[in-house]
Amino acid sequence: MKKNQQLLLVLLLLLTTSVNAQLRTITGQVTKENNEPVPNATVAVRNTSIASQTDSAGHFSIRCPVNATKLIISYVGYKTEEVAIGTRSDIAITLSQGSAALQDVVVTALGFETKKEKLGYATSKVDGAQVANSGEVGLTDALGGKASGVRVSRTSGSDPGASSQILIRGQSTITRSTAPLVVLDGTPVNGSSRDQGGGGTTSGSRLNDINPDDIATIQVLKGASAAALWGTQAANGVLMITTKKGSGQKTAVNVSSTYSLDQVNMRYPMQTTYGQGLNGKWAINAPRSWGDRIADRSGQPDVFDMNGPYFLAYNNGQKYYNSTQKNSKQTFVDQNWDEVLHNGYYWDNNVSVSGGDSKSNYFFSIGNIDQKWVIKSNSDYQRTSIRLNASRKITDWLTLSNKGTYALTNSNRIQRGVNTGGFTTAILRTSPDFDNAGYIGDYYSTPNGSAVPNRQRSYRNAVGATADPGFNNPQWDIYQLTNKDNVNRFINSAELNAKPLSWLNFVARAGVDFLDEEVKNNWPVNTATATGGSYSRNEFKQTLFNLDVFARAEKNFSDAFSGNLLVGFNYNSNYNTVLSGSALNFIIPGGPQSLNNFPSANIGPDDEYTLSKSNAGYASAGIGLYDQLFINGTFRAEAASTFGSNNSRFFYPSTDIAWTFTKLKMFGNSRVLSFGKIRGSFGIVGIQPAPYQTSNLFVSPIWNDQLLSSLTAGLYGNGTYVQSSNKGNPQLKPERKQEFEVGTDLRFIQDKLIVGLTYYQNKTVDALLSIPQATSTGFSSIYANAGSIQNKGVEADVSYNIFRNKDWNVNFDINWSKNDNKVTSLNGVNSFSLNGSGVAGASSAIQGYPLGELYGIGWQRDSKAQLILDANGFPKADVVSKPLGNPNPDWRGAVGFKVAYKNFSLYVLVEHSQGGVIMDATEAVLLDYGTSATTGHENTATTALKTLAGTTIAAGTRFRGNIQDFGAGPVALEQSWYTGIGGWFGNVYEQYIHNNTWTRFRELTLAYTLKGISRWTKGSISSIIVEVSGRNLLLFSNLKGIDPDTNLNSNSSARGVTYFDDPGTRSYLASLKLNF
Amino acid sequence: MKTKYLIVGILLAGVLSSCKKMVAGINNNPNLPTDADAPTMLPGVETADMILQGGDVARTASTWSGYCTGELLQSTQIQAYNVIAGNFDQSWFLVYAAVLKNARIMREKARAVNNMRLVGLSQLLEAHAVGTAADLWGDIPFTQAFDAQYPAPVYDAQASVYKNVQSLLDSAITNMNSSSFTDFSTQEVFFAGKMPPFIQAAYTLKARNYLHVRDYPSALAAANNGISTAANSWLAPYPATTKGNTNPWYQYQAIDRSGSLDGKGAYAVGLLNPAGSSYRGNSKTNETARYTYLYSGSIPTLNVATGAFFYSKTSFPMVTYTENLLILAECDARLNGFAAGLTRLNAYRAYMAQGGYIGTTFLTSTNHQYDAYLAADFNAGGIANKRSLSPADALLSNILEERYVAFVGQIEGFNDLRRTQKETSVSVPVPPNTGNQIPQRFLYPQGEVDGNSSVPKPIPGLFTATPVNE
Repeated sequence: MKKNQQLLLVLLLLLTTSVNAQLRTITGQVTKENNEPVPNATVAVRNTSIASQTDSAGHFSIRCPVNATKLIISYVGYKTEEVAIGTRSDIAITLSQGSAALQDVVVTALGFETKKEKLGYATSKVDGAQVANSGEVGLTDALGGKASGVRVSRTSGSDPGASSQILIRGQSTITRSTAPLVVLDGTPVNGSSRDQGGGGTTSGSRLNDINPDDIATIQVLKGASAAALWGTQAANGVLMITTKKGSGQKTAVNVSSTYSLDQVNMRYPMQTTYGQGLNGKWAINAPRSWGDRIADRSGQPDVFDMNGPYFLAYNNGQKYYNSTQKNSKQTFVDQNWDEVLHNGYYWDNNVSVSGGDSKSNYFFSIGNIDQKWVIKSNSDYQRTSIRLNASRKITDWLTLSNKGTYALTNSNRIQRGVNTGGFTTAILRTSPDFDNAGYIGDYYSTPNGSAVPNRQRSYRNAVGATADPGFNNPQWDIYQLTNKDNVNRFINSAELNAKPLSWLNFVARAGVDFLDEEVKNNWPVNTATATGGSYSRNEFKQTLFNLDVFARAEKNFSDAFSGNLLVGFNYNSNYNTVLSGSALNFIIPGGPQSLNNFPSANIGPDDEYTLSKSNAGYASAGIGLYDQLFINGTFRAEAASTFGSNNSRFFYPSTDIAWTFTKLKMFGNSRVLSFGKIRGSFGIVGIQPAPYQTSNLFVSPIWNDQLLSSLTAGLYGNGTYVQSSNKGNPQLKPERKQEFEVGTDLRFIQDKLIVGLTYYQNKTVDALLSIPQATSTGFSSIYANAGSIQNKGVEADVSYNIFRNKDWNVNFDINWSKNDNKVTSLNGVNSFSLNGSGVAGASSAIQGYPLGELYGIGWQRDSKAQLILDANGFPKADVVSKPLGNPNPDWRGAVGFKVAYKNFSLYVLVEHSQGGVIMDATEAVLLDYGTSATTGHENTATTALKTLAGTTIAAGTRFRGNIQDFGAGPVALEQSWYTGIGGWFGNVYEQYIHNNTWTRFRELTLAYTLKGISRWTKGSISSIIVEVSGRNLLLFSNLKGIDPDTNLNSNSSARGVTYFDDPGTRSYLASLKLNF
Repeated sequence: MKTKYLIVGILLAGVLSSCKKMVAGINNNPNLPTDADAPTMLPGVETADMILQGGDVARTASTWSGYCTGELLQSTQIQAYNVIAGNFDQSWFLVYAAVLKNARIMREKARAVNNMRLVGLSQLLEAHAVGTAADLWGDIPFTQAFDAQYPAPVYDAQASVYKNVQSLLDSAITNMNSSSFTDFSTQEVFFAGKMPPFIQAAYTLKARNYLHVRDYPSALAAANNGISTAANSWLAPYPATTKGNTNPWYQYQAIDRSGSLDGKGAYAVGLLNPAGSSYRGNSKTNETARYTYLYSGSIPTLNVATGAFFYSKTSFPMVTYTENLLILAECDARLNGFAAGLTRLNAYRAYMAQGGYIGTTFLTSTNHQYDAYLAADFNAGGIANKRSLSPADALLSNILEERYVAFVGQIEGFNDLRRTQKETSVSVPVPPNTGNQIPQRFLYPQGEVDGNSSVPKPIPGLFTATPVNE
């Protein structure tokens, strides 16, 4: 801290030389071609930090020192103009078009705007309009394909409100959250999601609580040097989100309304040629579909046991008896789907009012989104948000501002993933010849028996004879199970800005992010694995508080030398509570969904809270030489409660340098290269340890055996505590990621072609992980700073203005990024599983491999990697795991193409992901169950074929299955193969690994702007925009049954496995925007 | 202007106040303790041993012993011997990170307060788990297990592990006989803290381990001090108010994976089912009660009905009077001649004739019969000599079969099959589920392969016998 104090002393000395400048007011209007007003243009006074914005009519008003010489007017997409003020007090400026990235203003880590050319690191900026128009419901997904180096991956298909992973420049951590820090108007907020593991319902991304329509810009700080001022919060990069503010004198009202129609974009292909059963024989209630050939049935009605038990369905009034002879050739795959899927839709409505005067401005908005998803029931998402941003100049030098928002998010979720209650589990395992229609009703054990109410009928429980249905009927999943998730969110950021001198200001900024989430899951009586019913209610609360106080000086000493200096203090606390209860076996089935409706012995509470705090001092300094060479440095010293006692404080320095070499005289008149900058930077950022990991803990254990059974030790004796199998560690320190990057920003042909290139290399040392211990040590893990990971990558952003004239404007832009990740050290541990999902073939950290590498059982191979075959020509399963493939893409890129003709515009965004693998565990399971289309194939043996079971299929015999040659001649893959080592439960995961290259038309938008309508609307409406668009219209992928943009293990580092995830969707949207 | 400087001053004060004290001392977990006394730990250790002995390990061993048949999902693969190292991680965890470690911590805490009976009980629990691990995996870490000095505990030879287990049990017996203790009856799960049954169980356990290394004289000596009454059988209690204290077999069979396991084609079903062709009953033996206690249905499945062996609330055998009687029978038959062996067998049959361990709801006066055998019954052509063996072999064969059917659902049957597999004339000829041999061991877990450099490389295959059975 001594360093900071010295800097402060210097500042104090400078303070005493305060000068009172005299001020004058200048007004004016900014227009562009056709004399159209330019709203939201920035008007700044040269050599000061005084700036204002134009209102919707292009008017501005600015108070500047009498001696001010020039105004600088900038607007995205237009050339920045410098206008001499002279003696004028009313100035009209006409802007001419430039390139989009020209004179781009970027937001730095503390929320200051600065010119992009001054920065020595790469950032990407996403405009609010880009995310608001994406057609995505949530902000997280809306970022997809928008910026280089930023990878957005979905979890569990398009499940509404589900979290998606945002990964900036690859994984920088092994076990900690990969989510970037989200700084909303200067305040760090929760932009991540609770870890949801591989089962249950998805937990929503809290980033989606922010209304995209409120956003002015999102600045993505990708590298360590850009983010270093956020210290241990910033290793995954930072999303600096700035919300809108009002401007000008006139009140502007914007109304927009969007309707979206959503459809499932892919469905697993299922076979309809063979019935329920085993060994080629139909069998009622059989779990698998390896039964008879449906075409060989007589086609007569089925024979039913009318004297036996039956089921009377509530939902369709039909009676179901046990079939004793299956004759019907009817199959129900499509019907079963149609019973649970429909076209989803959402309405997104927003109203905003903004305005202000010379001393104040405000922005107020109300937004509501109401989505019913593609699953017919209990799958929806609603968000209502209110925002008020206001700012007031109290005096010439003191401004108070506040930005506050409240959001209420209610959603209903569907069970998915590793989960017997999963909706896709239910429908994809149902036999093709089983009719799911009647799913809930009374069961009668004899024709004259008494009714057993609320029984579930499913393909393994054809008349509801048992309380346990085996798997749920998919309709039961969507109509009877309920999973409610309600979030109340309040975020407020208040700022006091004192500017005693033209070149010096002090800022105090305090922010609070409070959220309260209530999750209620209800599994009614007669649900698979909970035949007595179960219920849980969880309350999560989080309060994040952040305070920044800093002083900043910025001065242009001459045209040759400018400088800035900042010192500050940061305090951050994160308080989380969980209060939850779960219970088993309802007292009154169908009674209140409340913990009160359970035997008291069956109710398990959980009560937890965690608190972590950090504080830091920081400083930054920058100088500019000859307006072409810029050098910046930042420094942060941070202490956090989660560090071990030996580790009190850590330092996070950064430096960057940028040189606009085209300002050299030799480039003065270049027609080809109109602008060129090279840049380089280095920085260190960190990640905090999880709280409460510094000591060995005692826990009240639930002992699990290898497969599903468990004992809750606390139910015995007077309760119990034993030592946790996770070893505590008093030596904990933060993970530290150091990164350097070099790059260049170039503009060619009068700025028509803009190219940005960046190479970066980063290394995270002391990565935290629960190092798996051989449990013979008595511990299964030690939480320690044990790993090292590195990322190397290239990012490219190219935009080209192909053609522009009075009517036409044709642009395209490309963002492309490639990241190579490698786990360089794991402290001697062979592999470390990243997912606790229960699905094998785990995404793992393995030394020398990319993080997330799939690790599982493969085929036995000889030294030449050739398959070792058994006597019948089949490969053999290995018994120990090996690396199977890298789930991270080789590269990702997106191309945006925009054509504007007069009032029409067309925008297309295509995203491509190249390489990487995904393990399709769903398909693998369906192979075992015999419902996959692959298992419906019929082949005729060309020669005598061996089966895995050792039997022989004679030449010329038609059989159910496929023919494959593993190297010793063709063999038959049939039931014994697919229910053995050729199916999921045979453990050989190598065979389900697919290349995960895909291309999608992410967005397509056609818009028409109706202008010049003030005449006939009598000035009330200034413009109307009508848009039709499509989202995810086309998808090219290697995977057959599911949109490959999905991940079983939500937003953790565990990637590349899909297992009964929810489907993806495509959408058709129409929207209307009115500007008053 | 004064206000201006006041505000600036306040802000500056804020900047200067950065301080480490603000974050100190709040990283102590408010939700979990960092220590617990020995009696508090006891139920945790005991329940860990319960699920080790009665959970997935017992199910897998049963699937490989002809007690049940895997029909669905993972059970199909276990049935077909398609297992991988990763299938055994959690079982290993239960041995080491659950039982062994916490038993040792508990022991030190109990010793520190001179609670010697609890010291002894901790030794018994550790010996039980470690003995089971040696049975299943052969060479295993023991002397260096759970010792901070050894991040990669070496694998002690199976024989030396058994030896260590015996001395641990000797010490347990001494300590459990001690008069120094503080009452822990409310925490103790099995016998409310009463020592005599545990002491007897320790002897039976010693006998079991001697049996595994074929030291029959020592086994006989130990079993003579072993469990003396049915009431002293060491059973895992399952009140089954929630899933968490429900019999693990029931959890799997009736809650989590119904249909995954049944008795279709199982060898034990053939022996016990009175309607079956290989029924072991004869004019002096009626297995109806035992069969219905274990299995049910026309397609035989594991009986989970009220009061049956696999029912939610049925206590699961850890070490029992039944086992002790059968150890005595086998050892005497092997060591002390036909007559001594027959007397022991008839003692067991007398116990079974009164119902034995069969659940009372399954007993009627006529459905169970275990009349005493006469020597003549073991002569060629006698009712207890179906395989035309010498009378001595016939007796031993009969005892081994009694043991086999007595251990349905337990791990010990799998141990017996491997121990006696070379004595082909007398051993129980359970056919392999596939191929021509039954598995000889459990695989070392993936966690050891990944995390313990001392693990044998490559790990022994499923059909490599453990050293004592080589």
